[in-house]
Amino acid sequence: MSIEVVTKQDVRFPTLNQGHNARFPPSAADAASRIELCDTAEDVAAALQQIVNAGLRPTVRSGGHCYEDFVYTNPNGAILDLSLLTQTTPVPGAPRYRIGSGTQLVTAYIDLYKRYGVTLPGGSCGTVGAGGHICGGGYGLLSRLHGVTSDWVSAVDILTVDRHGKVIPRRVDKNNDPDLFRACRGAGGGNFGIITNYYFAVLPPAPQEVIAAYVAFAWADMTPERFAGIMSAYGNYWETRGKDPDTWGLFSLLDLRHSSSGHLGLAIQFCNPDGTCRDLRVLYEFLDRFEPFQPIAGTHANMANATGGRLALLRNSGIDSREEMYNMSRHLWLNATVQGGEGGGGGEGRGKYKSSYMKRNFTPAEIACCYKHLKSNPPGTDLRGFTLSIDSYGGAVNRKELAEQTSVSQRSSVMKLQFMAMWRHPEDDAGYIQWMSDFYTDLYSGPDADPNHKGTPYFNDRYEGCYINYPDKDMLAYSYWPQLYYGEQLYPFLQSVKRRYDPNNIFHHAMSIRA
Amino acid sequence: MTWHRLWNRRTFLQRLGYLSGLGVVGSHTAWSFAKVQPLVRDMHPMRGETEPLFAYVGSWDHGIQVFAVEDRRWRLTQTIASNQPSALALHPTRRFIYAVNEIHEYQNLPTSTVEAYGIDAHDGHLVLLNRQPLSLSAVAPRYLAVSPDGSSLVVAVHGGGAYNVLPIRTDGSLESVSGIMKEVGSGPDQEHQKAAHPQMLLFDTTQRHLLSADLGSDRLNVFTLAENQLIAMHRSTTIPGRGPRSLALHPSGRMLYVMNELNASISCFGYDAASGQILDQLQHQPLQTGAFSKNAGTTAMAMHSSGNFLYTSCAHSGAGSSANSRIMAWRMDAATGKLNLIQELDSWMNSSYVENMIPSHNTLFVLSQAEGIFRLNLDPMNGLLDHAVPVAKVSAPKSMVLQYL
Repeated sequence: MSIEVVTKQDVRFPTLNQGHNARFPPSAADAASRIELCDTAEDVAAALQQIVNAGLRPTVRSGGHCYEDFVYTNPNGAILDLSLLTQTTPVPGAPRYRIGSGTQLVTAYIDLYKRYGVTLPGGSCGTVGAGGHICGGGYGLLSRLHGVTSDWVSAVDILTVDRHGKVIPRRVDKNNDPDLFRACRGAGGGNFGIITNYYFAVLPPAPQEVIAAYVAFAWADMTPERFAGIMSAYGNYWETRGKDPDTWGLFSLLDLRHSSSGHLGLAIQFCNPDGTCRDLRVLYEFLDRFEPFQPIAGTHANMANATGGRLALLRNSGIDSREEMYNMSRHLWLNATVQGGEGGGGGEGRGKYKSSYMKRNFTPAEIACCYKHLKSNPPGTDLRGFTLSIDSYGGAVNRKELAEQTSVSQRSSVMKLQFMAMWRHPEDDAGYIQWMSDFYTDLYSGPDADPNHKGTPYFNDRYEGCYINYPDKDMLAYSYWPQLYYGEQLYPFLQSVKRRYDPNNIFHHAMSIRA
Repeated sequence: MTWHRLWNRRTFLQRLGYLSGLGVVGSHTAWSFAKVQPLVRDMHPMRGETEPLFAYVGSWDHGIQVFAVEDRRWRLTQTIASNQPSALALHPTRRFIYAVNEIHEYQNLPTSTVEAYGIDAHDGHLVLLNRQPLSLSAVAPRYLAVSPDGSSLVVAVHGGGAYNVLPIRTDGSLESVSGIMKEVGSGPDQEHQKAAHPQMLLFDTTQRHLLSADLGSDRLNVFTLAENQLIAMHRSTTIPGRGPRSLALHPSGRMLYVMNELNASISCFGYDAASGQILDQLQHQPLQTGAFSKNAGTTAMAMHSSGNFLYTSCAHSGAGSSANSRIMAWRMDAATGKLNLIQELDSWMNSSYVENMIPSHNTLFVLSQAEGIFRLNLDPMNGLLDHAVPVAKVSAPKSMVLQYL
């Protein structure tokens, strides 16, 4: 048991004072004064108590993948680093499976598989930490089959700070502090306290094997009609056939890269609902829908680039011609998952992200808007680092009763969009951020947007807001940003939890729940 | 119809008495203010000695208003757009004024701002030097103080439960926040004490210690400033539920008077300026002589520079359903800190509360929520206040600083 304190004079400070987005902290003056690395939950409690007593602001890191500046912009404050809290061994009296908050997802997948043959339906970026991922919803390639990670959480160890400033360790579940427990299942990190462990009474079995596939479409001979055909075929599948349970093992990502990068891509991971790949009819049925749009055989390099390494892409031998055309490869699930475990940007890259949920296929107006922006060439900005990643969604996620039990409101969507850009140089920040903002605002200002919420995918019959694990400070410009992320019913509940468990607003960031 | 004419139709009531104790307060007759002979000899002070040249008023309705004071007449010469300037502070050089904006959001973030203004020496007009955001979650700040050496601005963040320090450049402009002190704590009042609410700041007579009152946590604190960071030296918890709001130090530096908002009372503590220690409570004086109207944000306190007199105001329920403020004048016992009531002024008509009281030599300026700013001359011999004279019509005035020659 120890607390390792790294101050600004420490040689480790520059390394530990940044995560996976080099935009943060924006300047030395914005940086924390200390980073406290803890070995155990008890260490975290002790460190937190000292930080509160000293009048410092604590921010919390497990994996360091937060998309916004919620951790590293903390002037003279203290960063509590939980990345060493990686215990996964069971705790007597607690639900069977434990994941310490600092556990990286890839470690959790390996550990849960080797010990029990189960998994979390979590994200594909293996270096993401469990701490922020799970409490913000946490979805991934198996979410259509098994829901989001928050759906499976049975209990949480969390440290809160009471009105007198005293740190209170709690194990919350459906019977103990059930309101806080629900808030920990989807509302996102940095709001109520510090989660040190997640517990799961039951977890879904890991698939045995998966098929990876990838097809690409060249921008060089792309026409608006063909582009529309691809997007429309994609969205149509997910709003119709993709709702059938036999397809829930199919995950796909339509990778709408900017035209300057050469290709669009479509990446797939597939297994049958029983976790095997014995019957590939669903997969072929899906892929064949894109044959009219002249897919080209993607290279492995393209695939890796396109998915940000989110899929395992090693090719097996002995596959037939259609498998060749679709770049299909068969993998043991664990290998595919571990090999996909990079991505999310290195410590030196700069990034910006946005999100939206969609309940329906794309309209012609939306498609035209995407085409226009993906073909635009703003002077001075190299947009090869941009992609609009359209993930399949729904399936087991859309069990409506879970909206009441968790803090993930979005239970009707069939696609989840992530606008993401990565670049190297600070001088490109403004250009990228502005271009993305213009694209996003334009897309959600069309005839399908809610008239009272133009510029955003506000909940209506087509849209279902945004994803809090892809936070976007641009949304703060809208007074209703909390409803965008949480929905109109959930947010007042989260505010009541905030007032009750963090009366001093010890845990806050630019987009934390406002009391 | 001018506001002066409106004003002149008001009726003032005054409760008046020379009292040795409090037991007889309730028996005193209310007199019409107009019928009372002036109790204070008009001092006709020379300008430059006691009369301000310019007055700067922070108003929630108007921003910051600049008045030129000429022969006791206040003439509005400038109105600056400023968002809810709840407190103003003058730099020791008297060349700059700082304002704190009691807001909950700035540039879409949960924070607020402070503003630095330069003062034109000729006409007293203000020029915005810069505006700085406070730290994240530092919402609804209510008070600010400039360090006696002029190098730092300290802000008491009521809503966000914190203090912020901002370095002041030689040109008067503010650097970004250099120090954040996040406070915790609460009190029994479920409405006003769910969390810490730093309320007021005051540098002591040594100029080395900064005292603060925290309404939410019932605490008094003593800080020092080092390298533009606050360091807590001493924390003193008062009786739970009192809600300390305002502070005044006796010129001797040995007694600290605290106005408690939530139970309308004054506490007097011993104070050791050399060590920055708040000592035992010496006196406690309730102010609710009649029906106390518990209305947070409606107490004020001002100490006469002689150290002989203290003036308080607090909300109380008047006749009928209207509530307003009662001003009381007290003589302080320099040895024991004991307060002896010498005068009461009631009926600040039309449900108007006293927002603030600013002492100025032998004048007490009273900021009335609905009625504007009044001058009440006081007799330095006996501390008694003369009738209230309106000097400026400002709605929702919260704060004022005076610039002398």
